[in-house]
Amino acid sequence: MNAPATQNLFKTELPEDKPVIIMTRTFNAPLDLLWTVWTQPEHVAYWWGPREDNEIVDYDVRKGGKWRIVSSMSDGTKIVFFGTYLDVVPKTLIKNTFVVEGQFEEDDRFYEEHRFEERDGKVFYRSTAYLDSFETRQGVIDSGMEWGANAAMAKVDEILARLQRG
Amino acid sequence: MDSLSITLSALADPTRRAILARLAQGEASVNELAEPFEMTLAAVSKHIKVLEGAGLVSRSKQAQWRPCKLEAGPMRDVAGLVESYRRFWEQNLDQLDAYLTKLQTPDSGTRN
Repeated sequence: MNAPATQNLFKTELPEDKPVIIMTRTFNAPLDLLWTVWTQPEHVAYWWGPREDNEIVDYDVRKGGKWRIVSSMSDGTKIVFFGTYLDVVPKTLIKNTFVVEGQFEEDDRFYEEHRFEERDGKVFYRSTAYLDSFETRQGVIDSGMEWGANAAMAKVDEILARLQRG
Repeated sequence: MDSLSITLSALADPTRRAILARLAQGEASVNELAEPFEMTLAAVSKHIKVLEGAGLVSRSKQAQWRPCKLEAGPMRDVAGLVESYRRFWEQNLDQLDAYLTKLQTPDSGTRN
């Protein structure tokens, strides 16, 4: 039963025709378990984000519900993630807005779509982040900010190459 | 002055992305840029103006035909956003995977 982690192929796509980020991967777990771990706050605290210390303030996984997680870093910095569930279909789909205080503003048109599908006792996961709406958001990203914005430069060529193919 | 929003707004249009794609191959005149599109030169010029406004494209003042050139600076900001978001979720999903493995391992102390 100890399948190597390398079987969980992870893929990120930046399609050229839409400003979206698509991430796919497989989890070696049944869908029931993954759904529980994804939707129960006591589990989320174990896998969410920077993870030094997560406080799950709100986590109401149903259409219109709110979520809010405060991650405290060892240096005392706090990062606040929050959003609203736009749609929830149990064990199938979660659509939510994704806000990072000070970085991303809340906007219904910037949302994440998480899709789950069980195949042979494993879960195929696909998320799509829709970035189109950033045109209306007010937040400014600072490339020096906490969670790893510094690898940006290397991405420029890649994005240009993708534009080029389009 | 949220320059990133301006950049993303400029990138939101397929015609403008196609123009950038063409410019990624090298400088081009407005006429050359307009060629593949079924629209008037004026319409294409408008798109180029938006791209200029976002700092994604600059136009040379020397040559008479004023070629357009791609400017990578604003793309860097977009790339930064995309990259930080991607890395965040990549890390999250790795942690989720490790946690799921732990839960499914008998005698793991965490839960159940």
